[in-house]
Amino acid sequence: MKNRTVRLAAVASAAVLALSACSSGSSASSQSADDLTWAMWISGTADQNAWQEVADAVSDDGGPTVTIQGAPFTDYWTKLRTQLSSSDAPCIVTVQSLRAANYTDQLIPLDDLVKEDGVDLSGFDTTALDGMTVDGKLYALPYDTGPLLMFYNKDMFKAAGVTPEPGWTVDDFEAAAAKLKANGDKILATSDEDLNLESLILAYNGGRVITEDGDLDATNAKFAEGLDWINSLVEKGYATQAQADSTADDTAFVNGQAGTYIDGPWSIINQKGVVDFDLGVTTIPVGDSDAGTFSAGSGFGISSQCKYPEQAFEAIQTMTSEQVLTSLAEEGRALPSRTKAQSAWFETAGIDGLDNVLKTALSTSVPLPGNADSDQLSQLFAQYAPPAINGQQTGEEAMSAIASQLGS
Amino acid sequence: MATSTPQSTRPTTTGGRPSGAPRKGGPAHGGRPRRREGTSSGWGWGFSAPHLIGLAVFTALPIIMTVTVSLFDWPMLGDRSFVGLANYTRLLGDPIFREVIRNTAVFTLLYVPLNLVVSLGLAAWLTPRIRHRHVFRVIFFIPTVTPIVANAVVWRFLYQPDGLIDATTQTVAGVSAPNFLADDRFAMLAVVAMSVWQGFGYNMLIFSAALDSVPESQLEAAQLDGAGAWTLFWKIKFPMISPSVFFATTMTLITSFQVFIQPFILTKGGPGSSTLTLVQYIYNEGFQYQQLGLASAAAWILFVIILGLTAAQFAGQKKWVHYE
Repeated sequence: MKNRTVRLAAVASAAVLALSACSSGSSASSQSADDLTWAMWISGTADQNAWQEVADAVSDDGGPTVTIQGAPFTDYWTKLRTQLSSSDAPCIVTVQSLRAANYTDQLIPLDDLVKEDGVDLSGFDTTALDGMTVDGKLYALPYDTGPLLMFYNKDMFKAAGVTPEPGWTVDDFEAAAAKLKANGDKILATSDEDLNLESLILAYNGGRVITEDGDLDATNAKFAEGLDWINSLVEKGYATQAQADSTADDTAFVNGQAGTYIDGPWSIINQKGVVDFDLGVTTIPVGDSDAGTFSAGSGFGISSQCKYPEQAFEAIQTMTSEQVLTSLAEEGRALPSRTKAQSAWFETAGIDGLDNVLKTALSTSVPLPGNADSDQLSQLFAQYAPPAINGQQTGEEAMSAIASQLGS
Repeated sequence: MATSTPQSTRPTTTGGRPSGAPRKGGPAHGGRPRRREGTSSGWGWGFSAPHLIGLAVFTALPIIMTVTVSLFDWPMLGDRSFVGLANYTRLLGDPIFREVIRNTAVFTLLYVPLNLVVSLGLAAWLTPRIRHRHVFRVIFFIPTVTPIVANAVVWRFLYQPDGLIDATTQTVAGVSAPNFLADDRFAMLAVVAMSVWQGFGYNMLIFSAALDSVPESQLEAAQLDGAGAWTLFWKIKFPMISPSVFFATTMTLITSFQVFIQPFILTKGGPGSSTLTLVQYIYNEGFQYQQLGLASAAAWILFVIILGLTAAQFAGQKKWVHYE
């Protein structure tokens, strides 16, 4: 009798331990019409507080309570897939424009809700709306937008006597590179990150691996030529060697090892606080094409598992309202998707000529469409772009290796 | 651990007491109280229950589940369909997967011997005669207890162009060091070097403890017979610590087949696929490309490889492992 009691007690306590260990991570409160969950990437306490204010704005507006489920950006997409495949998927889902196409099965198109509620979309930047549209259907209301830009080290450029005017060409860029090299500086921090690499090459010669319709074209000859061009910059001592590390370019730029790198407006205010030199922003140098630059942004969608789409739609309307976006802009978050809220952001950024740079970039910007294989493409870029950029392979060899592994 | 003495004849199964045996070692047959062979008290089960349940829930169950998943086309989102052994045939026919197996084997072949040589060498050097040996022990053990991700990030800074190694060769010799992590001739060696630095401390501690327990009398006897330091080590000490060496070899081999974090942080599997290892391949297939069926099949291939090699090691231990 005693033995059995001991055994039972041990089994029970072990089971309790095991179960409590399981449950502590996944205690997502079940959602109701007045209590919705919102999946968001969060990069720290300041970030958390800023987004909490957005969530609070919904309930202050008479909407449902919104609970944030945060994850760091790099883990966000892995976590989101697992969450969306469970029965208690978050109702409100944050998506990036270039990844919207990966989630069309898990998000509901918003067009009917927009029509029913009579929502006026004209306040949004059209590129931002286009980025969230897949096959003619709108999957998210954007909260930020922006063309990819070239960040530069004003001190380094001043020392070389160069001013990179918005709209500058590849020839201007290489001439500047030669002057910087004479001072012992490299002009470009290379990147193998999809958005940055694809934007640099698009501006150079219009080469793109994802077509305007969102189809993969990994063996695109122009894109391979673009990789060879970046390699030529490395060979001439104008650019840093590539690393299998998506933060290598930011790090090299911040440490003063390179004079420029590619990033989006969402990083300007953060980078301005990090660098110990004068931060400048200009457009990506344009080659012999008018393709301009890619733009990207993020927005809020509604998961198809959500039982309360009307309430969720009400919430995301508040979350992308002019008032909320203006206060986000004042805190230095990304460039708002509503044109009226953008001036607040320019004031916070406080960089001379930034509005002119953005105007120039936006005039030629196109949305980077998503593709269901874009996550795989991003991983393969990390593996195969560095050898091409550093010159161990030609761009064509690297891209055909990538193509042979895609779409499987 | 492998150094334990051979098990006594006590039955390990507990399928109930032999009939007629007293329940507990009460006074029986007039002798003094004595526990009977074969009696089982619930305490054994009680104490092992947390571990057993953990094993069942977190190891056995997932293993069985991966078998099922590996027979399906199982995307993380969307419809699943039964495909039989198609995932396995696809993997075995995939040139990238073959390269991944080759990379993992190369890593193991470089890492395991290097790790054992370094850890055994340092353990042999750290005899009680070395002053402040405990300080050295702690220093050598620090890399093992430091989070491996942090270690890998720091090593990445060392290896990078304009990193510490490159900057040093530029100042000292005036030449640039290779771009270790982005050059397919050096990337795997760089990953191995970092892994050895990270991993040798654990084995060193095991070897050091085993060497300390070699009886002084035997060493003295050998010395009186005229054995030098070299003979003493290989003829007396090494056979005495061979169970520890066996344990360390087995565990190191298993962990080296499971290598993931070092290439994941240092190279992402690149340049090309030259440092893509099996576990990273499984991670990519499962969590980046959402092909859970394919990932499970690859995990099973890894499991079979590790199981086979460990079985071979156990079969081969009779030749060189001496239990007292």
